[in-house]
Amino acid sequence: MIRHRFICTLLAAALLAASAAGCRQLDEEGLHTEEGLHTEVTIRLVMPDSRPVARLEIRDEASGFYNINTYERTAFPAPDANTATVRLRRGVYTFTVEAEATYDDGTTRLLRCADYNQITQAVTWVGERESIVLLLKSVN
Amino acid sequence: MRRIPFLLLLLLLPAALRAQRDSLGALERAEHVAAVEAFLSERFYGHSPVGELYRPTLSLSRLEVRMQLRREEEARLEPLGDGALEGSLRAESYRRLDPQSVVWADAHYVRGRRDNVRWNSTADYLLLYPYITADSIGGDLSTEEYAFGGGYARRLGRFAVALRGDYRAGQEYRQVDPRPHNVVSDFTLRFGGGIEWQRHTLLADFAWRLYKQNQRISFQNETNIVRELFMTGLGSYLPRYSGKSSSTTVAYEGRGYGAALQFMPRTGTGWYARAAWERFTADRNYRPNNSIPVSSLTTQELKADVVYRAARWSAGAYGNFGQRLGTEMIADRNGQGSIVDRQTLYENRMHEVGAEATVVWHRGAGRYVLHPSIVWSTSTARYLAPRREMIVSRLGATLRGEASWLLDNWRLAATAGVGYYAPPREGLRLDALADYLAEYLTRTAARLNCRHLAPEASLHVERRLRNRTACFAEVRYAPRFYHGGSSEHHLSAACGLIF
Repeated sequence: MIRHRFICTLLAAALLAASAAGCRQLDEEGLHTEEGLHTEVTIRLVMPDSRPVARLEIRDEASGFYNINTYERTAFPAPDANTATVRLRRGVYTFTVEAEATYDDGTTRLLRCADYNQITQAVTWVGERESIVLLLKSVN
Repeated sequence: MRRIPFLLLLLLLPAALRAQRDSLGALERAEHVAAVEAFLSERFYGHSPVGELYRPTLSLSRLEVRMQLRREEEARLEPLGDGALEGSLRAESYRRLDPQSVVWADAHYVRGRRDNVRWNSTADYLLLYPYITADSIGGDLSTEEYAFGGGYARRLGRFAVALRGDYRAGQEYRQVDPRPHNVVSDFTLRFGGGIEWQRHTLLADFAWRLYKQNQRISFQNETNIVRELFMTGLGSYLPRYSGKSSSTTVAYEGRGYGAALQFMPRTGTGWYARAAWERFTADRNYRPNNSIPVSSLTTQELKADVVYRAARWSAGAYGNFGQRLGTEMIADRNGQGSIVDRQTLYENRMHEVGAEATVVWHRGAGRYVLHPSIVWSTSTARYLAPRREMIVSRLGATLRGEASWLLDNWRLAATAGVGYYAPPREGLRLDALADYLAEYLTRTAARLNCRHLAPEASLHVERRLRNRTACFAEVRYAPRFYHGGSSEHHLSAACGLIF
């Protein structure tokens, strides 16, 4: 009788342990983290010629990233020494950049890169860090 | 196709003829079944297909026609509408073939209408949310479903084996814009084994499930401006696939499996315990884009249940822990049809614990049962980007009483009960959401968290026709009265035969 009750208690404990293990399994699976949802993209801007550029100003109304799945738009970041970094949600993007370059001699020129502004040219960024080189072309 | 469930029952007739000829009449067998159901341990016989072998009841079959009516002054869940009217034909049979084997089967056909369904154009909403297709217009839906299932269990010395299959097919449709037409197919197979040891038995059972739903939403009016949204949880939706053309076609494909362990006495009193785990994954595929999956929903549920049954009372506690994870697929450029990333953005965690007891006593020809219970449950739904959260909870207590009398040619049973529920915890955060969607979700959270009183009553009457056949009629009424003045009503009436 005592052995019977002991074994029944063991079986009940085994069932409860299985339940607890299952709860732990449910707890371990969960949402993506914020970091896992985003990518950091480094953009290097290449000028059309070798003239030194004193200032490069992004034209916000004509520049930006467009996520083709979520339809989110993100502004193009201000560059620092022809390099810009932006934090985007991982996905597939089209984008355009238009900037006004002011040279050391005081002249200005409008530059643009529209190589990736069509869906057929969209870029996939799904890694933790991504990078791209953009060749700016003169508009005027 | 609709004849299949009833052909299945006809196939059981030879088994029924070979079945043990119980000496008791129909009323006596029905009272015996009800007496077993008065104890909390009864549910353990139906959880596992092997458990049916140990059900301490006699052979009984039932054929009924039922009408169910639901009316809500304010829809508690708009995707399920604010009313429904259904008529159904149901048949079920449990036959003890001999001391070593049992066979059972059930079938039903339901035809009905659901009123004012909004924010949902997908069938089986509670199975597939939040990955449903939705619009704010909605309307009435016509529904039709048939299902059949059955099983066989057999004792082989100290061991037992059992197999059970269930199939459900249905459709929902509307004949005014927007016009959803959803066709569902759902098949589940359960098999199990058991080993007897002294006066107890240890059971294990496994389940496997296949699910399909084909959905087409079309518009007759070519100037239609209604957008069908591919919802992803808490007001979010997939803009890439939403409102794209005059028709939307989606296919849901699901597969599931589960396992359970159960421990119970071979007869009568003692400890009953069960732990079960189930997992189900459903992919939502967008047909116009090479049927690529646009989202995937994974639900897991862990259930634990323990009951002690004594001669005149039973007491038990249970816990259910569930998790619903939603993953959105990031697709490549149009025409590529490939998935480049998977992002799990939606999670819903549900917890429920409860305790209950039944006390049974007899006086003359009457049997009386008192059934108190308490329950606490909470559901926390979160969406990652943008951050949104909804918390729904309830804490409630109910007290139900039942009285039944077995007379010469009549059996009467009446139940009455009352429950009260209140939310111990609420929460709602809806960042960056359009006004019309925020309004819908705010309304839903308020209604799900509303305090309410839930009385219920039912009357069941059986009349003997011949020794082994009886007819019955039954009516149940269960209203809910919410804080703030609104109410909802559930009425069910049935009549049929038992034999």
